[in-house]
Amino acid sequence: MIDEPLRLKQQVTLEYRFAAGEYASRFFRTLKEEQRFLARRCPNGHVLLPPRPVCGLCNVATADWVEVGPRATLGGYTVVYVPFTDPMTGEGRPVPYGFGLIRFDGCDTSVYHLVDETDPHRLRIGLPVEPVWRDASERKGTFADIRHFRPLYEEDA
Amino acid sequence: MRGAVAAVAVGQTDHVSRRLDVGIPEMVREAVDRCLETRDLTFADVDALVLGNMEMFEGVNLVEHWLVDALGAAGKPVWKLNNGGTVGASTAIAAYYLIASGFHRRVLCVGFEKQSEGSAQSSITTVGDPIWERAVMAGAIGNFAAMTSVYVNESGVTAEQAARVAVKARRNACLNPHAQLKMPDLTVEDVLASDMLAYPVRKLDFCPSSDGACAVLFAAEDLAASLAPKPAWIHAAVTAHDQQYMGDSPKRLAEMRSLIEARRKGYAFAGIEDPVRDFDVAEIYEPATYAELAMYECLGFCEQGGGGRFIDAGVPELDGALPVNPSGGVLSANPVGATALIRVGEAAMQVMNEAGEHQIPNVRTALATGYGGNAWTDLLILRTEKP
Amino acid sequence: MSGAAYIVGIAETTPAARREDVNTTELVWEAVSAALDDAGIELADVGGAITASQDFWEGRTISSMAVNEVCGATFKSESKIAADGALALLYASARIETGLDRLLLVAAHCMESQADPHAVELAAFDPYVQRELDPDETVLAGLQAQLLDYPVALRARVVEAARRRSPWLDPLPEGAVAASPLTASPLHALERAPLMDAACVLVLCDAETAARLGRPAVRVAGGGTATGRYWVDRDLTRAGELRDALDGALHHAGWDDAPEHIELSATFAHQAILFGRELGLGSDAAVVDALEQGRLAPTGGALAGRPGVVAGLSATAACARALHEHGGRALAHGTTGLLAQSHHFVCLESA
Repeated sequence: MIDEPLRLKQQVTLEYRFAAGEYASRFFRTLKEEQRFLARRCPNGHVLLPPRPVCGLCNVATADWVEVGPRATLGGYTVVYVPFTDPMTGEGRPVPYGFGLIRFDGCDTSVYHLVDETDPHRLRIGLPVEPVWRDASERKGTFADIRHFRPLYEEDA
Repeated sequence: MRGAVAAVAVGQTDHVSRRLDVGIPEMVREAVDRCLETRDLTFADVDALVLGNMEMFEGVNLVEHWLVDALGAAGKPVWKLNNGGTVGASTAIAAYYLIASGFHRRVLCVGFEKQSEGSAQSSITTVGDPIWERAVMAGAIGNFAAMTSVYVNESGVTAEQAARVAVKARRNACLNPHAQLKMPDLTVEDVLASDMLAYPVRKLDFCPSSDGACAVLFAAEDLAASLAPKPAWIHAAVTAHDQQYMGDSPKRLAEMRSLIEARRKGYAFAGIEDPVRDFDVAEIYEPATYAELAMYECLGFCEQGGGGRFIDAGVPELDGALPVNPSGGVLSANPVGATALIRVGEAAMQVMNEAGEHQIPNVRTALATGYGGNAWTDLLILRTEKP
Repeated sequence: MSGAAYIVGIAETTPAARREDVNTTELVWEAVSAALDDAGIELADVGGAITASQDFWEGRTISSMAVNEVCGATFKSESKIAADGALALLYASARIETGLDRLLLVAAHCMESQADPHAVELAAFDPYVQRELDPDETVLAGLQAQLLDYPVALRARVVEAARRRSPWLDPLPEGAVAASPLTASPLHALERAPLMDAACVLVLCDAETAARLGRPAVRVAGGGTATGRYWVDRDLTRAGELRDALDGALHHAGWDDAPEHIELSATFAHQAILFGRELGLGSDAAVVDALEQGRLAPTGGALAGRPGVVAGLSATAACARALHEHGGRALAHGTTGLLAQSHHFVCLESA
């Protein structure tokens, strides 16, 4: 048995230059510059976001681009109370914050994003939401170009 | 063409939040030694090894190569998988195929994680797709809690019913020397009073982060009986995935497509028609209380939407008709690279009648599942009889 | 009891120093769709996939998640073997031999240009006593080359032969290898396989499916793998684990001897010589002759432009193509780990 175990502190730094590829390049350019959302549709009509070369539901290549949203519906949701350090920026995200699955109108899949609400009892599955954008000067061509999604309570009668 | 395969020995470390007294090689060696010692075996009795570990969590690349001496593996075939939460069970499935095909005869599966040595948040970030998913993440808990809200909406399960799962798990853990969270007096009220991590999931609803290792030895048909008095024979070893991105499956927990598919295949292989009747014990991979309730449904233990009523009726308790996670489950110990292998190991121990204080009487058939990635599933069925 | 798996489809992307036009998902789809065409099947016909990738190279935990759908594994089984693709092929063969899988895709992929090789390799060193020295695999290779002491002229011929025989890279001008910068003495930059972005996909199936498909097929007669001790504990002037893996493969295939056609994968030129010697091909000079004449590494091995994780599967593809041409037997080789700590062999026979 060790009386005083030693501990070694070390940093492992890994840098990557990812190629975004054809689908992401088109999607994020359109998002950043035109504030529009492009999904891929398979020959059987499944509309997929993120856009991708193959529809996993049908095992066939996707066929064409389809615009979806910007209106969307909230799917699963939560309000997070645990502090989170954004690994991309190193910033601490203020807690609590809303987070959930966003399904753009016309799309069959959802993506995760922040939701501008901290009371979970106000949120519900099926709530209409819309994106709130960062200023053009702040947009970089990532999902973070959207600041968060705003619940449209006024429309949710 | 296909030989039968059995688990013949299991070893685990005592899982805790932080092992300061051992490094990874020593921790892994502990589990391996314990496994081999149960049958008076040595490294010479192992033909090949399959390792499971999330390398980016501890920041050790090619970890299987670093561990060769610790595992007595020099000169032997060494395989490594890193599939996320399912990896431990995937090593068992790999061992199954490698032995059933005749490629190897005695395979030692080793799953491990020294979570305390990594950065938990960076680790989870590395799971997200770098181009599509990393820009906006909320850790494992945010993702999980969002899925849970869909399940709650579909099933109507209550926070109390979920809390019952936590109470069952941590009380069962008291009978398992390896479990991390032993809480003999835990009550539903305690769980409901614990801090909310991400609505509706509370701290005591969620699995811990652990340092631990598990080793399971598998053997070919003609060797198994000489290695274990009562080998645990594999009757099904199935893997199923889902679509590729985190938001693709809208009802990921409520209708876990990979689990439903794996169950369909696995039950058919093993002739399971009524799981509550046909299984004597189940060790399932429940990352949180709500997940366990959903898994009761997806595994066909009860009707869809009936997970809460299933635990209210006491069926999955130690003395119920189908004890679920007598070991304390993932809720009581979660060294990710080991966790799914611990499920297989615990299921095997039940079949071999070697689960000690948490042994369920008269086990003939046991179920083990693994969960991870984007709601992927591994599913194994073990029995006292050869297939 | 071996050899019930057949290769019925082969495809690989053209290796490139940098692919900006595709991400990993799209790169692998490029190879998958070509392999499906080659086999005459659809993605829906695939029963499951075995993939090969290393998380540190990919910058992603569970790196196989990126290729799940394009490999036809949605709702089906996909398993990642974190090693050279040849090992993934051996696992896939074992699965087919059990009769539980009938048609599997085997996909190896890496976009080496995306990562920092020094950082990736550094992470494979012992965190307690080695990392502080900031080493990487090239440093170790320099140590090994120093110990082996093969003349630079011989090593240069190895690289030149690989480039001449490469399906993708251009031949090197005379003297280019020795003129390239010293990386870790005595090694020059061109002695190491260049970093590449590539994917290789094989379609593997059982006998009945192979017969039904009616495509040119190659039988996987057997295989073997062995892992040596960690680099610092090994005799770097030997590669005993290569011998162990080969013996295991030959035994599994029921072959008395290794065939003449061996597609060897060596990341560094001096390794090709060392491996050739361990294979019993004679003196250093005899090995280099064999490389130049194409008896060993006929398409140039890893030095011909194959990413580390892909090399063994690409070697298997090259062997299979050769067997389509002139029948017989061939041996494909791959390695995993710092200075090839693990070796894998695939025994192939024309069907």
